[in-house]
Amino acid sequence: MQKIYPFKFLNSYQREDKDFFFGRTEEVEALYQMIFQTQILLVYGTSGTGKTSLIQCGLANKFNSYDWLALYIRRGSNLISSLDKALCDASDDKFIYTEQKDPVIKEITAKIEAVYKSSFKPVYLIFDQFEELYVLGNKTEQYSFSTAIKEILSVDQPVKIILSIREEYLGYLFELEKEIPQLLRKKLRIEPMSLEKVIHVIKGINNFQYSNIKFKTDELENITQGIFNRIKGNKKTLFIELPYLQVFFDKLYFETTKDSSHVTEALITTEVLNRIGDIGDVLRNFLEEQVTCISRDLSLKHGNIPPETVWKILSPFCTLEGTKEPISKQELADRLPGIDKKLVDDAVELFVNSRIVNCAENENLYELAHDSLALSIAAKRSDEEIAILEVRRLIKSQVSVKNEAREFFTEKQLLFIEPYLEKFKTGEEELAWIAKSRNFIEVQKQLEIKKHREELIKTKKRLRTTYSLLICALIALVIAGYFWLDSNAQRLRAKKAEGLAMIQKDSAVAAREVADSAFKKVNEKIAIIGRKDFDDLTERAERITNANGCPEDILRQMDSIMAIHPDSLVMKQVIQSIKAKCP
Amino acid sequence: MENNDNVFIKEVNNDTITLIINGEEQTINYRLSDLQKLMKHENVTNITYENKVYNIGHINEANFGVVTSNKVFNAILTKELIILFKEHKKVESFLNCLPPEDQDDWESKRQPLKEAQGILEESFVWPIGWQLRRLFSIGNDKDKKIETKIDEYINHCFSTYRIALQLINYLFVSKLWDDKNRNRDIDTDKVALKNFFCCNRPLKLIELRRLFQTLLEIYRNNKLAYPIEEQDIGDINEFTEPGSKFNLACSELEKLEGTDIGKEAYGLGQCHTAEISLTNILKKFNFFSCYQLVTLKRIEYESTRNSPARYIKDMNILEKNEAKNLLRYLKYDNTPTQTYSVFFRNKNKSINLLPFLLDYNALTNEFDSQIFLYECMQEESGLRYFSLQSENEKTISYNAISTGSMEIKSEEQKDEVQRNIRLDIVVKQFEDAMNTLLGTSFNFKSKESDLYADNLSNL
Repeated sequence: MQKIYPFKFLNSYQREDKDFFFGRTEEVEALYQMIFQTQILLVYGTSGTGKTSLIQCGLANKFNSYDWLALYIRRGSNLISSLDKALCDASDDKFIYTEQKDPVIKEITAKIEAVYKSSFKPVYLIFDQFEELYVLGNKTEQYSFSTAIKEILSVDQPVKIILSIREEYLGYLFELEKEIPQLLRKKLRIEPMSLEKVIHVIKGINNFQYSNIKFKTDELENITQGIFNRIKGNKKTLFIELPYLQVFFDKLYFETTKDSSHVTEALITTEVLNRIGDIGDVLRNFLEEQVTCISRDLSLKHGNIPPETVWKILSPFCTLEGTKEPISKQELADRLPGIDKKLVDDAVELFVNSRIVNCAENENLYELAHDSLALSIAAKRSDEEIAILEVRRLIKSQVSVKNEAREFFTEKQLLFIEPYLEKFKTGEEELAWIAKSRNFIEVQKQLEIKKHREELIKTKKRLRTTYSLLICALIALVIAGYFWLDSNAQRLRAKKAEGLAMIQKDSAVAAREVADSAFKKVNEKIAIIGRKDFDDLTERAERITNANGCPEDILRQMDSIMAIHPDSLVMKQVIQSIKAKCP
Repeated sequence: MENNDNVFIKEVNNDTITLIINGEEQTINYRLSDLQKLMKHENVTNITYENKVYNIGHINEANFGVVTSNKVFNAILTKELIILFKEHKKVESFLNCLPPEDQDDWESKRQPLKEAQGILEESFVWPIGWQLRRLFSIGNDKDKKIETKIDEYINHCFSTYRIALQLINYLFVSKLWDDKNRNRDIDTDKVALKNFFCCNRPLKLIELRRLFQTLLEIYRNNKLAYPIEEQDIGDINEFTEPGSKFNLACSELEKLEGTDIGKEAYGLGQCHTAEISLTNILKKFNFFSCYQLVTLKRIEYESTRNSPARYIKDMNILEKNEAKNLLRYLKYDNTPTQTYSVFFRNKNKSINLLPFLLDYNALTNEFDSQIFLYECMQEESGLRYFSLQSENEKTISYNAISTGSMEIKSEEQKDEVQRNIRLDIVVKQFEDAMNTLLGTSFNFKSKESDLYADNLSNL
């Protein structure tokens, strides 16, 4: 067997790299144990801890080939489409993938069954860089994904799901966890490289007989510590990032052999290590070097191409947040309208050759070899580039929503968008939506003016009415004043008449009292006279009745007296008893 | 194409075989002896047919037909078992739906073969179904190198046979343990049984078969009811008579297992032999298609005032079946049951296979199932198991954890203690079975009891 270069630079280790995948035994074992205890497993860690390698090389090699059918799924342009495509492609031609505008996976259960029956191997759906669903995807895509996962977890076939995510995005799983409560039950955190692990890696490489790079055995400890310290720099940490280590190894190799084809055998010594010195930000240095080289190469063919142009071409490969974003050559050219397409294509080829960019499988997409490169590229962006990216994101997020639920851009947003529109290529739908938004705002403005005008007319009308009412009120007030004054005069007159009447009344009352008193006295006298007569008449009548006669004349007289004393019951009774005695 | 070291089969008819030797055509009778004679005469060992190279030494009367019919991997196994289960609803429907032109040789067509394999995998009790899945997977793999394929295929024929024997032995031993508890007069003093309990290495295939035959003998001599219904198990003599088709097939596999692969690699002819033998064994073990494996994940006790106590049983059925919704279910009933059991059951019978067959995840309070098969004793401190899913060995050590009252400081500590107590129960159950059946008074010893106590206090 020919000797091989055992480092992967910024690429992840694959199943076939097991012979030189070192320093991860414990994590691989933990992952292997966990996979038998759950249907869904979460692998998380910071960027550059080697999550992908751990799964694709470490875990994959723990399984025999007849027990492991792994479908590695990256989001690409849409996670649902990518999942659907992966299932169709592995279904032994039972299903053919067709691209959809609004991706939905139809017959997911049947597809899983077809995938399983194509090989009779337990299926492992591995969603690598799962954070892309949240960084690049929209709500609809996220919802469709959780629906698909729920369905997959209920199929009869042996299917397991592994989600690999950067730990800073764990919080984004909140909604997904509500749908899949077991989501976070089994999870494994991948730690960055400790000194101990670096020792394992170096010893492993030294013991691997087919490695074309060896570390001087009696200087092993110093070399390991030296590499660790140089990568760690001044940071107070016990860990280093794996990509930095890989790049550092690459530097050591190149420094020793000057062979970029990685064929020559190399012996790494402390002397070589010291020659490199303190590498500082190795990746940034590496990038700077590569960009300078690429700029030089491109200049040979395309005239003067400064490094700034190369940085500009690299910019679309990473998101605003500084994570990598897969992109096709066509999309790249669309996003760089001011740069010749041929130049862009050539630059991409050189990026691939210099290991900055990888060509993603299946989809003809290109992406940065690692997120750690993305940060350095993002830092090189001008304010205008950042603004263009923000504009792009704003347009994309608005247009990605279905027509019926989509909102128009606001005037403020349009003001932000419009200056940059010519600086990148926008889709027909996007342009149409911007135009629609503009029209909408115009219509809204017209409506506003019309409304304002109507409001003005209404206000004038209202004012007129108010003034009329005011005048009426004033007239009414004058009339009321006149009547008030008049009524006051009348009142005074009435008051005087009333006083007069009162005096008259008092005189009348006094006269009446005098008359009443006189009348009373007369009556009293009449009553006394009547009474006396009545008693005489009674005596006379009794005498007649005793002699069985009837004193009719006396009775008439008594009735007359009675008329004067109508209230006298005694007189009444006397009269009645006399009448009763009459025969 | 021509090569002095090789003979090519050009055509095979009902009566003749046409061969090319050193560029010349030669026709012989369709007989293995004639072919062997010719090969010996030409002094060549390898014979090629349709890009498959056979060692003439590996071709025998049993696989001669397969070699000359150019069958793909698993074709014999699949077809024979499908025919055996032709009364089953799914199989019947599969056979009826075959296009007329495929009726006779559907096993040589990719799609119907895979469909049939899917049905077979689901038909057998889970451990056998899982092994068949592996055989189908290895056989169908187009990317694998032929040498690796042959090697893996033959090894999985062994392991499928081993697992079938282990499963049936566990059934018979489990029931015998219960029977012996009721009747101490049952004679169980047998070497094969002692080996099963006391051996410090996994038993060989032949030893497992001897154990099965010994168990059958014990059951027959003591007139015990078999753990499998008699109409399902069929003619017992087939298992015990040395010249029976079953025993011959077993012997073939056992002989193959004895091959020194350091000296001689397995060949395609041996692969066919293994497939034919396994087919004949599984045909006799067809009762495995009438049973399910159910693991009891957890059981809760509920008792309220003035009402009978009830048990809530959280069960897992490992097989896919018609009632798909019942793959995991909760059962409320008033009958107690043994915790962490793994039941081998059908409508009428149910045998608890613990401690010989375990759901390790149920014992360790994890989701999903992980089936462990007992292999052998690990010194005097534990038991060695084989994980069906990972194909790795795992030792369950006896820790002698106290089950008295103890102070618990955290949920993790409680889980850890409970997990270890449950694993102790497994070892203790094994100990009880062994002492009951062998009449011994063996006690497992905790290897690291002091160390474990320290670990606990650190939690």
